[in-house]
Amino acid sequence: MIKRLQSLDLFQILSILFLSLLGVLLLQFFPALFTPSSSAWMTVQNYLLTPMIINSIILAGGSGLLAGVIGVGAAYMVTLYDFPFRKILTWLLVLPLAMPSYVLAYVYTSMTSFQGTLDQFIRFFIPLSQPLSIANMGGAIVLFGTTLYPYVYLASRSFLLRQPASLLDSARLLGKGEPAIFWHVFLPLLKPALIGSVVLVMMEVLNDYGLTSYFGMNVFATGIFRLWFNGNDVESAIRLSLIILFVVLIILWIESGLRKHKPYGYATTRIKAIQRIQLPNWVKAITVIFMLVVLSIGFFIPLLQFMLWFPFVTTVAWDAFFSLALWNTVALSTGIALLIALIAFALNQTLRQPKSFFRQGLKRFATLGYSVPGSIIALAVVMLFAPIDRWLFVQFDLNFLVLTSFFVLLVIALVIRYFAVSFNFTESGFQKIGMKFTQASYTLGKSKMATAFLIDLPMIQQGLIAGTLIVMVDLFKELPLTLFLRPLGFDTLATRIFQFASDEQVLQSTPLALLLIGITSVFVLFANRFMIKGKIDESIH
Amino acid sequence: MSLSIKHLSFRFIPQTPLIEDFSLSIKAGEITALVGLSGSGKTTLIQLIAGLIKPASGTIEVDGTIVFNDTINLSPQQRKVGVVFQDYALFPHFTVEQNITFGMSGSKQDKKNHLASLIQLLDIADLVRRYPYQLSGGQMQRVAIARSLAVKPKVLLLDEPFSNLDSTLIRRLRTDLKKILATLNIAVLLVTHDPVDTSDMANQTINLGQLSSSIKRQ
Repeated sequence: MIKRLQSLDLFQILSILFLSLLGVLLLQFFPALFTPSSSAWMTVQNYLLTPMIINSIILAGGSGLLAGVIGVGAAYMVTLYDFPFRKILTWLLVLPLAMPSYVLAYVYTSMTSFQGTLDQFIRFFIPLSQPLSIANMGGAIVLFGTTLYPYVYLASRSFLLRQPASLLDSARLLGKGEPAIFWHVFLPLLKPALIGSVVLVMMEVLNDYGLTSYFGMNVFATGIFRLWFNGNDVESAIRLSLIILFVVLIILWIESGLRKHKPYGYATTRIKAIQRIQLPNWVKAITVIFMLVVLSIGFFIPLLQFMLWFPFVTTVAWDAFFSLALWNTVALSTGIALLIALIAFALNQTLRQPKSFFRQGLKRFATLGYSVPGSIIALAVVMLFAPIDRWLFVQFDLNFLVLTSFFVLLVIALVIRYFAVSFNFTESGFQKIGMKFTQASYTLGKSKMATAFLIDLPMIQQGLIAGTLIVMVDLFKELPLTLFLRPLGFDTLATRIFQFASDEQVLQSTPLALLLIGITSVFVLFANRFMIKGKIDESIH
Repeated sequence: MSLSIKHLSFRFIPQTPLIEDFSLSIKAGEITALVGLSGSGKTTLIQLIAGLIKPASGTIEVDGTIVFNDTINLSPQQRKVGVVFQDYALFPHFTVEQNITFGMSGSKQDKKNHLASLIQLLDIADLVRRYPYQLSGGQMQRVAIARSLAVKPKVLLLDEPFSNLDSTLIRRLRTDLKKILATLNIAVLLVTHDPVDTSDMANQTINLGQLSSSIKRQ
C-alpha cells in the first residue's frame, strides 16, 4: 500500500485530493437523513416546500424548453441553409452567453417599470392600464431562455457540422421535404447533444440566485439562502439541500436514460461536409428576424439601455471600488480558471486509460459540481471548513478567520462548481487525439510527465484554452458563491452590480456592467474561435 | 538483439482470451511476419511486447533481458522496443527533425551525429524542416521508422506499415524497407494482412489462424 502511494505521480495525487474533497463535501449532508425533524423544518415542509418544488420545476423546465427550441432552431438554420448575414449571425448567436441573467433582470425590470424605456415606448402606441411587469415566472423563463440557449446552440451546431452531406442528400433523394428531414432524420440524431445541453441549461437555472432573488421568486436557490442566512436555520437548509440533490440526481438519471443511444458510425471514412442550400425568401426573412429578436432580447437591448444610461452615471459609480472590483474579478477568475484547468488536465490524464466502468463513474462524479446548485456547494464548504476556521481562530489567538480571509472557502467552492466545464472540454480534446501519440512517446522513452507536457498538452491546447475561456466567462459572471463566501470587504464586478441593484441604483451599475459584458463577450468570441479551430466538441456537458 | 515470447496470454474481457499461450522467437537480423484476420490480436500483441498493455501471464524477453514475467513488468520507456504505428503517429506539432530527435538521449553532439546517420539511412534530408501534414504517406513512413530507430531499439515492431499507402508505392517501399532493416541487425516483427509482405520481406511467418479469434501456440 505504502509502495503504491509512493509511486503516485503529481497528476494522480491531485486527482485523489480533488475527488476526496468532493466526496467529503457531499457526504456531509447525509447524516441529516437520520436525525429527527425539527419544528422549523416542519414549517418549511408544510408551507414553503411544495410551491418551491413546483416553481423550480416550472422555471427550469420552461427555460430548458425555450433554450432548446431557440438553440436547436438557430444551429439547424446556420448549418443547413444559406440566408443573408448567416456568417455574422453564426458567431453573434453565442454572445448572449456573455450576458449575466441577473443583469438582464435588472435592466428589463427598470425598462418595464413606470416611465422606463420600454414602458414609454409601448405607451406611445398602446395606452396601458397598468405598468408592465417582467418580474414573474414568464419573464424569468424568457430571460433565462434567451441568455442560456447558446449552450444548446453550440452543442447542436458542433454535432450538425460533423454530419455527412450524404445523410441529407439521401433523405432528399428519398423524397423527404425539409421539415420531414428535420423531424425524422436530424432531430433523432441530435437527441443526445440536445438533451445534454438542455439539462445543462436547467441546472444553470436551478443554480441561479441573482435573477430569482431580484424577482422575489420562491425557488430552491433562494430558499436555501433564505433559510441559511435570514432564518439562520442551517438544519432546514441541509434538509432542503438533500431534497434538491435528490431532484438533481433524478434529472441526471432521466438524462442518462434518454441519452442512451447506439454509437452511430458511418460506413465510409470520407465524410463530405453538408452543403448549405438557399431558402425561399419569406423563410429567409423569418429566420433572420427570429435570430435578431433573440439576440436583441438576450444581448443588444440591455447593451443599448446601458449605453443610453451611461451619460447619466454620477461619480458614485466611479468610486475607488470600481478599479478594485475589476482587479479582484480579473485576479480571482484568472487564478481559479488556471487552477481548474490544471486539475482538469490531471484528472483526465489519470482517468484516461484503461477505460472502465469505475473510471467513467469517477468522471461523472467529478463533474457533479456543475449539476449541484451553488447554494448547496456554499453550504457544504461552510459546513466543512467553518469549524476548522473557528478552531484555528481560537487555537492561535488570531483576530481574523484565516481560511475565509485567504479565500480558501471561495476558491474550493468555485473550483468544484465550474470544474465540469473545463474537464469536459479537455476530455473532448483527449478523445480527439486518442492514445497513439502518447503511446508513441512512451515507446520513445519519455516519462508520463514529459509526455503530458510535451505531447498531450500542446495537442489538446485548443480545447483547454476554449474551456478555460468559458470558465472565465462563468467566473466573471458568478454571483451566489462569491456573495456568500467572500472575505469581508471583497468585491467583484458581479457583487458590485448586485449591490447597486439591491440599493435600487441600477443606473449607477452601468460602467461596471458594460465592462463586465465587454470582457465576457471577448472571451466568448475567442472561445468560439478556439472551438472551431480545434474542432472541439462544443457540448459542455 | 533478439525477441523471445513464452506462453503469453491476454484477455480484454475475463474468460474470453484474445491471446492464449502464445510463444515466439526472433533472432537478431531476422524479420518475422505476423499475419491474421482483423480482430485476431495482431496490434494487441505489439502493444503487449511494447509494454503499453499488461499481459495476463507469460514471459517476454528483449535481447536476453526479461521485460515481463510474473514478477517483472518494465514500463514501455525501459524496454528498448521501437514501434512504427499503423498510422505512424507522428507528432503533428513537431517538425520531422523534432519528431526524430524527440526520444534521443546523450550529448548534443551525439544526438546530431545520430540524427545525421538516420537522415542518411532513410534518405530524408530534404524533409527535416517539414511538418507531418506536409509529407506524403511514403515520407511519413520513413520518418516514423527514423523516429523509432532514434532510441536505438533492440527490437523493432512494425504495425501494418503499408496499410495507408497505394499499391505502386508499397512495392518500392517494401524493397527500401527490407534494405534498411538488413543494416540494423535487430529482431523485427512485422504485422501485416498482406501475403506479399510476408513472401517479400520475412524470414518466417506466423499465421494467427483462419477464423479463430485467439492466437494459438506456435
